[in-house]
Amino acid sequence: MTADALRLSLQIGLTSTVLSVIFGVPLAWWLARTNVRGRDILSALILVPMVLPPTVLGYYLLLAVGKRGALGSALESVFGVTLVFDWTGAVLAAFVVSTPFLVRTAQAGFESVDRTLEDAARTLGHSERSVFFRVAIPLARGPILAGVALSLARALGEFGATLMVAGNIPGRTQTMSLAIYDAVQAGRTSDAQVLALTLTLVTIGLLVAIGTASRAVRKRQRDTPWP
Amino acid sequence: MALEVRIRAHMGSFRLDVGFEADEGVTAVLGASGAGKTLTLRAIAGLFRPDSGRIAIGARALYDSLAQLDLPARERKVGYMFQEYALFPHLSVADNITFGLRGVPHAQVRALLTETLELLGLSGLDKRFPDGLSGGQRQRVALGRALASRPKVLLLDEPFSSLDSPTRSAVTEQFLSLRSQIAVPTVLVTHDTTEAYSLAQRLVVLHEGAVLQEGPREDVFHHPASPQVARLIGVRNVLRGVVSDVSDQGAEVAIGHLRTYLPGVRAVVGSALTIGIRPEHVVAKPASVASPANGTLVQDVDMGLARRVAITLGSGPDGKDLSIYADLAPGTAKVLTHPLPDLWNVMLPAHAVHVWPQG
Repeated sequence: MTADALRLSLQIGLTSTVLSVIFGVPLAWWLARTNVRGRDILSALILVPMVLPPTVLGYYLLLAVGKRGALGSALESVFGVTLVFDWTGAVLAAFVVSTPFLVRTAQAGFESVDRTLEDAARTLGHSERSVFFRVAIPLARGPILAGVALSLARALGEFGATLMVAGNIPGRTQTMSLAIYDAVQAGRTSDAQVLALTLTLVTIGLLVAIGTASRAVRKRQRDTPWP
Repeated sequence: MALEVRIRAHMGSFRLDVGFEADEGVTAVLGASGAGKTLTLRAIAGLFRPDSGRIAIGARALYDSLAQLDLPARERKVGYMFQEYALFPHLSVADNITFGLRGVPHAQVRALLTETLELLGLSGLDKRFPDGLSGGQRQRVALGRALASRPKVLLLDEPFSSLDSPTRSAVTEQFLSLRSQIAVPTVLVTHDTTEAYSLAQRLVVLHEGAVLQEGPREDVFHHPASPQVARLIGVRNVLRGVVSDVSDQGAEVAIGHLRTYLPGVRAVVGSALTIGIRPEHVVAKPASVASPANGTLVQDVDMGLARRVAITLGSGPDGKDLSIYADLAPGTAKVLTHPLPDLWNVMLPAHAVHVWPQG
């Protein structure tokens, strides 16, 4: 049971974090650089999942992707995919809850990068894509990795929204966080202890790994401090 | 191939309306901060879009509002050296210099790198990072990076302003010897008249977003078209005078109580003029007797080698007090005792006086 929960936690947490990086980092760059009207409102809206109670967020998600929800029925009829009571639903919940942490931190990182450096790359013949990958990301990698660590930790610990969208099905959607809750409810104190200790160690281990990776990448350069 | 710039733009309440041409060789855009110098360079590089106009290198248009053409910066082939150099801190000197060489075969990149390092005296520094370089070295890396991708135009934004004074003169001399090897039109932006004059063949004087005068450096420097241009190129004394007497050969002008004869000036008695003269050209000598022609010392700035004094000349046509700045020659300044005498005799050599109709 612990093994299943651990596997699910890692599967869901890592998938969600990968998605956060794919969508969140370019979004953060765009937010840091754009001058479009409503940028500040959009910046603020992205933070809403951070401040909303997870159960409230989970409830909205359930409305959206449930069988009768607009998104849910579309997904089901077009792709035959059902998110509710599935590990993919848990990924969605973790993604929505944790991405703002990455966007917020990475955006601050990009804002601290001198725009002139990006302009210099443009005058040297580089496309926006190249400017992003070869100038913006390397120079903001400290804050980006900090954001990745934060959002991964948040995704691994996700409880409320996951419970609402994916339920608590052992072996299918029951992550470590949910399994701990189950064990405590059922009075299996020793199980709860093992689970809690495991999740603590795994989370710390992943964060240490990210920190080490970031220092290895930053070894050649000392100007972007690890926040 | 010449660079042609005719643009109008606005940024908030600031209006830019600039037109000039830059041939091969160096053209200096001279102006105070806020004159629109950097904005003009950014427009040429494609980093700022003007409201209208045309920017072209020879027959190749980079921007043309009528043709709705606006090439992105990456396609313009414009080398831009930024004011603080904008070197990539995460890349080595070699990677900085070759950053613009995309799609160039590896062997050629190596050759261009070696050539650029040698040209700029950076050999052996290729593995260093920008934070391990001196200011002068950084400046050369930035220039090398801009040159390595073979631009069609080179833009230099205050290239020497962030260097300390000894480095600055060394780098300036190096740039002069390099100038003949940069075979593309080069636009240099600066607020420093001496720098503009010594590095460029042509000057474009920019003030509050508009070109006041453009031409060969000697023309602009020795014949400023207006009092404004004169002030910008270091003519510290711009004073209002009244024609007090005329002859066939010229006119006598009263500046306060100083009367000076200017041959070749045609004017009617009583008309107002503006004259300009550099403090370096004003001849000031201590006077022994109090006479109406002599003025009183009001300011004394010891600059080490020279000594700049301000001497009152009474009041001008508008009733305001007039004073004139004069630089005492090094010899004179040395002999003179502290403090300087009060009474001074001022003489304006006619050949050094610029005259404009009252404006």
